[in-house]
Order: sequence, then structure tokens, then C-alpha cells
Amino acid sequence: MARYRRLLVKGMERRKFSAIKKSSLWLAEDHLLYLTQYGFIVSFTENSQRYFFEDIENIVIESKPLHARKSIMWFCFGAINCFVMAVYYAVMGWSMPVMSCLGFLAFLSVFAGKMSMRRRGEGCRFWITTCGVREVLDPVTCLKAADGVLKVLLPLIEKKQGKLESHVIAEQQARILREKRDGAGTPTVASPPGAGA
Amino acid sequence: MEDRLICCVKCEVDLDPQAIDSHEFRICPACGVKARTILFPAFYRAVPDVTPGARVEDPEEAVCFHHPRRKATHVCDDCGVFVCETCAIPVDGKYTCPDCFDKELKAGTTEDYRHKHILYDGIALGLAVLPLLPPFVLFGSYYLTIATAPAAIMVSLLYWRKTDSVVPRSKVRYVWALFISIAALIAWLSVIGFLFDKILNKVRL
Repeated sequence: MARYRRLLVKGMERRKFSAIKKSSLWLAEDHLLYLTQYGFIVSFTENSQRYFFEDIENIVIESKPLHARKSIMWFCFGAINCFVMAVYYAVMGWSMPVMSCLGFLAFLSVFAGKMSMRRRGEGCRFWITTCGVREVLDPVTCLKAADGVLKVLLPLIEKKQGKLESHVIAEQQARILREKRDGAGTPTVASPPGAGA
Repeated sequence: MEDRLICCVKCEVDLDPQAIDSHEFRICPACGVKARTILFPAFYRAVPDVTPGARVEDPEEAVCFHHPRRKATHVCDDCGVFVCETCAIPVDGKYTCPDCFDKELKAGTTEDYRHKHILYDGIALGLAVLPLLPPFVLFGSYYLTIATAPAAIMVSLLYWRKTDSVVPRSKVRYVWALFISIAALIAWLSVIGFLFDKILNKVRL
């Protein structure tokens, strides 16, 4: 079996955590492992997906507004927590100080969410595509982390596949688009862009 | 080599060539998604032709075990059945049929091809800890520990040597599961002992 080391870069979450799903990234000699663990608070099963460096076709970093989803999630968590506790203690007949304490805790969790949002900067989605699969890597949630992951992955992928020059890709893509627009049917296979080492 | 176009991750509209492999984010004209694309040579690599095996023309020819109309091209190295191009799965330098591949996956001999694993240490820790978590304790879940604590101890001891994860994983979860379960069992024994003592005292009086 391959030996793995955890892929951790600045700004990246050690593992993308939710109550039922956790995901993390690991590096082996020739592939990237995307590990997803399922359970409830504690993980019971894990699924792994391997992205071999020689098979990765493209990486897309999609910019997203400032962790809006996360902030909403924190708010919902706080609100639900507050509501459930309020109902429970109302039924049990407990006094106001307990409820105000719980309310404070709920809003504290919202505040913590907003603070984490500010600290991590602009959010993103990190898409990785191989021959048959296109997947979002959950642990990469902000641009700072995406840049860090790219710094680690690019040399490894380029070592296996070589490098594509930007202007060659642009020319190639423009030609295919032109042929498509002209309605030439199936585009003719052109000379390969500077692929391969 | 293949002629392919890069498209938007959201709406799948063909992207402007200038937007490819740039270090800046570009906005998709159709859906407004802001994205940066990094292409690699594999993108232009020709996809292998996966047409099913050739049809049988001569009735004397060997046919695939799973596709009786297809010509057999390989023999399964495990069970010896004839398989066509589609059914032959290359595994570690040999060819296997889908059935043998399935069996090997279940038996865990083709470890590298397995992608689902059961985390026994997580199950043990879950059994020990979940009934003691505050939200559940409010509903009296701690009574469950009388059953879950011995179960957690059993799982920990039975699977102590078996770490099923792909990545390195310590035994710390087993240790915590054992520690918490034993503590819960001691607590239960003391409660039972205390109640038993009380009943005995009442009987004596």
C-alpha cells in the first residue's frame, strides 16, 4: 500500500468538518488521495478517491463570496440550538437566566463563525478533473489555501505530465472554437500543443 | 491527441480561449461564475477506445463468459473463464474477470483498489461516547451505556490489530473507547452494588 502524508497548507482546514462528514487530503508518491469519512461526530466509515498525477486533466478554482454558506450554517446552528433549549427548558419550567445564557452561547457561535470567515479571506471551490471524474475537494475552502495546494500539486503534476504553455492552449482552444463556429463538423485533429516533457 | 474545449464548471458553456490557464480569474459570460483554470497535457490525451470485444463470426471460436456473442480475448488468471476485452480487468500484471475482481475486493487482497473502509476504532469510540454527549443525555441516553460500554470494549479488543483505514491511524480511539467504557461499567457496577446493598439492608431490618 502507498505511504501517505497529509497535505496541509496555510489557510486550509485540517479537515473539512461537519457532524456527519469529514474530508481531508493526503499525498502519496504518485497520487493525491481525497479521503471522506462518514459517521455521526465520530467517523464510522471512510471513502477514498485517488487522483493520479498523470491523469489530472485540469484544476479549476472557482471564487466564491466570503464563506456565505458557512456563516448561514453557524447562524442556523445557533438559532436551532437556542430554540430547542428554550422549548426544553420552557417545558421543564426552568428560569430565565438559563435561557439567556443559552441565547448568549448561540450568538457567540454566530460570532465565531463570522470571525473564522474574516480570518480565512475570500472563499473558493477547488475542482479537480481526471478522465472520468470531476470533483470538488472540500477541505480547500479559501483562495489562500487553494494557492498553497497548487504550489504543492503543480510541480508534482508537471513532473509526470510536462507543462502546457498558456499561449499554445489559447491558440488551440481558439482554433477549435473557430472550427466549431464555422460548422466544419468534426474538427480536424491539430498538431498537439507543447505537451509532454 | 484530442481536440477538446474547456467549459465552465457550472453551466458547461465553452469558455473564451483567453480565459484558459491564466493566472487571473475570469468571469463566465453565461452564468457569471468567477474561475481560474489550469490545464495539463492529460486534457489533450486521446481517450482510449473502449468498444466492446469483437463479435463472434466462427461458431468454433471461444466466446466471453459474460457476453456469449463477443469473442474471448483473455483468460481470467484466477478462475480460468474466457472473457472479452470489456470484461478483462488488468490487476497487478494479470487479468481477472469481474466476478473474481469482486471476490478479491471483498477478501481485501486487492487492497489498493478498495475505496470503502470500515473504521472499527471509530465505531468503538462512538459506542462509548455518543450516549454520553450532552444533547442525548438530556433524554436519558446514559442508560444505554449499560449495553454500549461492553459492546465498545468488545469491538476494541476484537479489532485492536485491524486498522482498516488507508491512511496512517493511531490506536488512540481504541484507548479512549476502552477507558470511557470501563469507567462507565465501573459506574454501573457501583450503582448496582449500592442498590443491592440498600435492598439487603432493608431485608435484614
